[in-house]
Amino acid sequence: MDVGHHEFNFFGQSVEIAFKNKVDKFSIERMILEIMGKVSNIYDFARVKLIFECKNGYVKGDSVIIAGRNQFNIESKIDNEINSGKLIISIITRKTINGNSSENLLDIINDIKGNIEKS
Amino acid sequence: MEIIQVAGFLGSGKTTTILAIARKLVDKGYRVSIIVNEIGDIVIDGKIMEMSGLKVKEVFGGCICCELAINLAQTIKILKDEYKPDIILIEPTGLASPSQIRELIKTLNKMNTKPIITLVDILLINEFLSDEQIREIITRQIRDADILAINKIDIVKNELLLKCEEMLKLLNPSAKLIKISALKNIGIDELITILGV
Repeated sequence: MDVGHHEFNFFGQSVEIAFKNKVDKFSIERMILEIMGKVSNIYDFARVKLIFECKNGYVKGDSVIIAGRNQFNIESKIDNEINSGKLIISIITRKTINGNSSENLLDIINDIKGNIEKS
Repeated sequence: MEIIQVAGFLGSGKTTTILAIARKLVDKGYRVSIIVNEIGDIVIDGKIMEMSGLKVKEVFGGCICCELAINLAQTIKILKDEYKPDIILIEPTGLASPSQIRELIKTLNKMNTKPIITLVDILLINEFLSDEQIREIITRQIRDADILAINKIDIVKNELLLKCEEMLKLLNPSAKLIKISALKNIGIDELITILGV
């Protein structure tokens, strides 16, 4: 078979997030945008999908990073402020990328969550 | 039962396009199911589709054009037996080979494959084709298409669109070319008409 798609890596993470205080959808959007921004600094090519699910709805973000471009979309279906939810993230990159990507990703998520709580 | 495959590289707008097509078909009175394939073991697009009230089955942890081909056949059978849809929309991974999926479907009983739609992301097609590894995958997806749908046309200038059309005609002269914006619901009716549904 001559398809080249086995030359790509997938990794994903699902993280329960509880904020100290209630946050609005703009904070969740900012968190998702920051994660996508950090990922774009790490990889020359990546397909990133994120969804933050909570009892009031969801915020979904996705992006394609290639050759220094980061084309992204974000969609919010949350009305009220929330204090917890589940963040699911999936990333497809090239297999040439080394390192423990899942651990790096968890660090990124925790850093950004901390920044939101401080602000 | 009809099967419609909406292919295209990562980020080309497959989920949005499938949702737009599915809504129109449901409005026309069809029973519609969706099969979503994710290369990894986390499914996000399927969740979004289910939230839209559609019947969705997920095949994950590989690609239905090769290592998970048997799972695709089983999933089609389960949907057929349990839900009896008129139409199944298939979203392969962005790395899949559409013709291989069509060949698999052809081996199944009482399944009619509709023309393959390959979506082309007008915003990133030049970057993708400049990358040797990605170019190989995208070129195959374009050549496998019966319908080439240039997506995201609402946010580009006409000259870029014309260049893209010329390039696609060179890569696959026999495919029907259509311009859409799945997000803005532009061209979806025409796409359904071309599909012959």
